[in-house]
Amino acid sequence: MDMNAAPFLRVSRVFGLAVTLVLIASLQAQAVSAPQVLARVGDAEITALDLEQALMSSPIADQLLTLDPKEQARIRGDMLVRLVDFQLLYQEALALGLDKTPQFQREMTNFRTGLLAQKYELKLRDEVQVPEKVDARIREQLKGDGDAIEAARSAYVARAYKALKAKRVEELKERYGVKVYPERLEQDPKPDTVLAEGDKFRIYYRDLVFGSPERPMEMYDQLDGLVELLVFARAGLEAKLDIADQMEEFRRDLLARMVVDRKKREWIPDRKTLVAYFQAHPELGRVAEKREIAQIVVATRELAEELRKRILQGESFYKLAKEYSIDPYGRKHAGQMGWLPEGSGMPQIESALKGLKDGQVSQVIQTPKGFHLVMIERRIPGRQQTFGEIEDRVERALMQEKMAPYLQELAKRYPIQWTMEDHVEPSDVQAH
Amino acid sequence: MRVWAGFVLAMASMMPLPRPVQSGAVDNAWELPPLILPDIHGQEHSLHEWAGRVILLNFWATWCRPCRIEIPELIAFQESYGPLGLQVVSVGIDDQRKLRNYARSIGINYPVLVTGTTAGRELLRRWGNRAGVLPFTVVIAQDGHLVFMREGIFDREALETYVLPLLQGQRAPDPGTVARDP
Repeated sequence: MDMNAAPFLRVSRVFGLAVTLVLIASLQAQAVSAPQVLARVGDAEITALDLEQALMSSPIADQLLTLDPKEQARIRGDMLVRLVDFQLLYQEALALGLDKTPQFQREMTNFRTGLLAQKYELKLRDEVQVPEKVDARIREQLKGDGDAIEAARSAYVARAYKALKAKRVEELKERYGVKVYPERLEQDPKPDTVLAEGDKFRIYYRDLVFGSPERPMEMYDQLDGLVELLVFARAGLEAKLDIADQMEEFRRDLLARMVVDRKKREWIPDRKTLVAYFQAHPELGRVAEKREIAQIVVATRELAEELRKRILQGESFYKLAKEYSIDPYGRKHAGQMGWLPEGSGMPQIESALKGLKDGQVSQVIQTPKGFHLVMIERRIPGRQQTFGEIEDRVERALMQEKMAPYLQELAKRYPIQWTMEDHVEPSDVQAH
Repeated sequence: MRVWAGFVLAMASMMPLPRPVQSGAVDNAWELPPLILPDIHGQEHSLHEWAGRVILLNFWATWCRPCRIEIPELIAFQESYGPLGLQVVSVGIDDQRKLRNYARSIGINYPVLVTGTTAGRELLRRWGNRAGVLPFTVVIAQDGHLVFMREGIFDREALETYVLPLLQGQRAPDPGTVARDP
């Protein structure tokens, strides 16, 4: 067991800070016991547990522990930086009073309603059990066939749940005095036309967010869905279902997101801004030429020259690559290196490829890896994408460019304190 | 494919046990072709090295979520019952580097042998897992007798039922779980 391989990592902060972190690669969410504080942002703390939880809920979670120590450390460092950035945005949102805005209140209410209804449905599903008698019958009929027994049980539960849900909706509608007026959908409804009402709630025509009068069935379904959502949410509230943690998480995410949205409106007031940015940065739309490359690498110039001569005299590039190349991949694949975009190779090779015609073998190229002969088999020309094709990418690039100095500015207001001094390797710290 | 494997696995873990013994099934590990594989550090091992101990042979892969769920348990089993004669031996059907990184990251305290996907599937079949479902665990008694085999997560209940009696010098209950190719 190689537990001593503690990885070192240099994180270049967008704020111009440089921090070298040593993170224990074996750290796992469930293994973190003491809340080791990794950083403080203003009054808030970011702990090792926060970091591991963020990692475990990220798309990289499945692969993280299969990566090399340095790569794991790099990912942990990046995530820690993101958590710090998130804190900065969150604290700024509070300072701006965004939690007092109608938009915030509305989004919180909507989320709360949805969450309560969802939790109530889960509770309802838990109420469905396969009765002993039915289970005995299933087992009798499907003797020993585990998969079939389980499938039969699931089918029973699904049917019973559907029936129970429909019954419960009707009971709750009655309990909350809900009246639904679907016929009003066909009577030229206005935005403030009431489509359903009950104790403490009303659904207006404007609440139906999609569908159109031309497709009334969709609107009926939507209305039913809204009624169901509201009665379940109300029932969830009465049942005192615990949603505090999820609400808190959503609240923080929402506030941070609102700051970003605000800045986005400021930085990108209209589409013209994006077009201008694209014109100033045409490289964003540049698609590099792709070339299918063949390569032979050998240890000496003499051998490379000799092989080049033999190829020019008609011998197969690929056969010689298979026989002589010291590059394991090239040798295995008879020199065929696959499709590579322009600019992705070593500079010496890129420069040799520049003037090369398809099927022409290059001069001998020297690199630290040896002496190369390369050939372009086929190529797909590069091109310039239009703004319309990459509008999203342009927006991301502009946001990224603006966000870095903005976060730097926030860091002055909410100072960041890295609390990992014990883990800093002095030789690795650099002033940036 | 993996999603399907996960589904199959979820179903498998709910399957009632024990399964009946097929007639003519081999029921001793040492009568099977020897299991010889390199470990994550490249050193070759034969399963027979651990003959005389109770072997918990666990087949897994790093991409298999249920496998990852059971590994901390297996580590705990090895730590607690290793001194009493238990030996967890795992066979990772995966890339050696991924297995080595995973083992180091999580602190696996038992041998992790390595095999590729094709060979791994054949190995699973040979050990009685025709569907190739992971995780898959086989319990081998001190005398090589195959006591238990099962697709799905090997939990504490299975340990208490099939492994602990062997460590205490008792016969494991005769579950008739060994359903495998002759």
